[in-house]
Amino acid sequence: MTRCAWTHRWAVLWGLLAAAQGCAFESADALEDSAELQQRNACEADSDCGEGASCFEGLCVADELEAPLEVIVEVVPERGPGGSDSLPVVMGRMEIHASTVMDFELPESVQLQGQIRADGEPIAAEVSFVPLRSMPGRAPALVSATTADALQEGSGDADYSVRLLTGRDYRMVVRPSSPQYPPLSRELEAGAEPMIAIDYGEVATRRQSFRVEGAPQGRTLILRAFDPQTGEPVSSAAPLLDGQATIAFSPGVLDYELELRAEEAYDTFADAAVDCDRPARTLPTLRIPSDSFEEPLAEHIQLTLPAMPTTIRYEGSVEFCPEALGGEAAPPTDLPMTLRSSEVLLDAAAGALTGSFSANATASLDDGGQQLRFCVELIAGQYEVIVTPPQSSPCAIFAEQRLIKAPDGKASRGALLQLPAAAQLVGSVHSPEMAMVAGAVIEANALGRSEGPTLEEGDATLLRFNRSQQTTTDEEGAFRVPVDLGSYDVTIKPPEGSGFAWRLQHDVHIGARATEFMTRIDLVSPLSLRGHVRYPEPLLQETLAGALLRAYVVIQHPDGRERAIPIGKTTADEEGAFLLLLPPAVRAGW
Amino acid sequence: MLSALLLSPGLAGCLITEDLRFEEESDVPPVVLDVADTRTPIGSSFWVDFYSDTSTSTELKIDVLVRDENVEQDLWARWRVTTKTRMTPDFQPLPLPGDGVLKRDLQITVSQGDFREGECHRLELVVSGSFLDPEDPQRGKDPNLFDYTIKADDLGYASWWIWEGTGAGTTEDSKKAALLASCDAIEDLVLSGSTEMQP
Repeated sequence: MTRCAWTHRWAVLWGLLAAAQGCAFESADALEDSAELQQRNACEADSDCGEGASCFEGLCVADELEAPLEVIVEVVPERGPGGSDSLPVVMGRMEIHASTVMDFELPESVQLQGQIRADGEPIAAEVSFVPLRSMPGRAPALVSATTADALQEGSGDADYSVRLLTGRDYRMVVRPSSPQYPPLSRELEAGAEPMIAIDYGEVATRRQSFRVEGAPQGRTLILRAFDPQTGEPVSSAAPLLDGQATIAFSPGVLDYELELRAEEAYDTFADAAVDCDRPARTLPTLRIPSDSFEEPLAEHIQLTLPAMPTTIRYEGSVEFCPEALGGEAAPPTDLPMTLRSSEVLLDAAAGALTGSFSANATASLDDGGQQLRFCVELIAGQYEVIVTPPQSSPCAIFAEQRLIKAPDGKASRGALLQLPAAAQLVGSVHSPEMAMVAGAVIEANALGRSEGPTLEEGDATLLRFNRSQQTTTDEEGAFRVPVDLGSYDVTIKPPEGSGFAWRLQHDVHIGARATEFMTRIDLVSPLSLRGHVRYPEPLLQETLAGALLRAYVVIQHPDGRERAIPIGKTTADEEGAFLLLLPPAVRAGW
Repeated sequence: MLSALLLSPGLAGCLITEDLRFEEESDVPPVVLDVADTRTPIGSSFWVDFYSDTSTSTELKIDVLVRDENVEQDLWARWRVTTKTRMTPDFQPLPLPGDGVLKRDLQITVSQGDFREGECHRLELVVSGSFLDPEDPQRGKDPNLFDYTIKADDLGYASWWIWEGTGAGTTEDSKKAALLASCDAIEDLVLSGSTEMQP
């Protein structure tokens, strides 16, 4: 469908005839234009703007804010110097009280080279640099490289090369592929050292050997230690050979959790037909905390495994919510299922050992086309069972805790998993002139939290598996978003070029299903943040044309945690000038 | 009605006879582009980790830009995740209203349920202004019509290979082999160009 502003020459003739007659009437186009104007933020004088706003360069903008906003701006140049990859720059946090003018000076980037070697020879490794200044509650934009090129083509002096922001602090993490070398990390300031060389021959790593009694025959177990707090690996990985393995620990590791993981159980290349979904492993992954060893740092440690549990079949059916069956669209013919356990049932001799296990399955329409049935092999235990309907379905995700065990030691049959109805976020978006705003994007971003909403009695839903959703407002400015139970940040993005800022309603808790949560979104005069982005070096300025600026508001939670949530974005022009429109306030809840 | 107007006495003074022609805007297909700081470039292969004991994430978000010269044209995006056992899964439609800008933001959010542990996945995104009736609940949701358009070539396309696992440094070799095998199984059934893959 191609839009053409004037598709019909008769329309022109009609207008001319009308003018000749001296008639004053509004054509359909004129009415449309008028409605479109009411959906925009535009002004000629302060009197065109409401209270607390003034007219600035054709836009009504908010004057003084009732409460200041804590804002962080991130600048993303279109490209780096010399065509290199673009590096996002997180600017300092600022408190904004009113519409204002502000320039951002960006740090230049510097090329950092280095070596990852053992006794002078390059080794295979992944090197990543995590910026220490990042947005609270958001994953930092890390920079990664590998030593692969150096290993294939010969390295010269450098085994890897990256560009970092000059003067910024980073945490460098090296993860070798070889089981002989543990991960290493250190902090550095970019540009302070031109070359960072690491030689494992000179690194004081601790080695420990583990003798494991009772390991299953004919299976390979891999040993590795992890940080119990962060979950990061803190040792190399080694296979258990003749019941023994030696691993190398990163320097300074005192407290760890030892993991024993079985390699894939069977030939996954074979596509033999099976009547029950099979996981790739048939043994649980075992973990044991170091404090359960008498001497956690001893050179030799012995542990005994309990008898390994065998897999059972878990069979049952999935039922759609009634809303899915009454609609026009046919329900899907298969649904993906995920089963995750961090507590499989182990022998009483397991002691401090815990076992985890996970499996995937597909619930498919049975031969009669009446029911979705599933069968999956797993190890008995306490599971998170998740069934995921399509996002556009009127049914919500099924996510509940289930104790799965087989009374006969072979199968657990007859499970019924009922997809619940989704809750609905319902509302409409209006301009200050009370015009309905069509084409606004409504994003419900799932926070993936276990806590938040209060569920109805008897509702055992696991909240952290809720899914993000989005839609747009219709011609009447109305929207309807089906959502799972859980917590969301909801962002309302008016059409670009409308002159309005995004609206943010954070920490929206949805605890009741099959319920419509109604609201009305009134767009208001935005806060304007104008200025330029610049480099100290004028020659680099051209790389800032088209630079992306993202603004985040920092929300403080009652427990002291902070979270940065997007509230606006814009692009800089060829001179690096920008105009960011931000909401004058953000709201908690729906 | 128009004839009556033309013939009315009050309008006898002036009549335009020039044949005015207005140039029709050509319909340029949309193009899917990376955002400047993407960590998942279009066509790339990357890892996600939803099944390790320490993983807390439940969604994968990918941001792209959709460039369309027809800036007022309403577009639709559709995405799906295929695996070796789900080759024509349901797709997710997303509206991309034309609001006058050349490059439109699009965010794809894939739930953990779409990823199978230790397997290869192909995320496919198509964008068009002429899908087979996107608002028709039947035809607009038929997985087999995922990339069917009314107008030939009116389609923007992007795809990614996604491996589920702990990453190159910590995924054991047997699992990497299984991953590559499941990638091959998908690739045998897709028409688009192949990507060199080394998990």
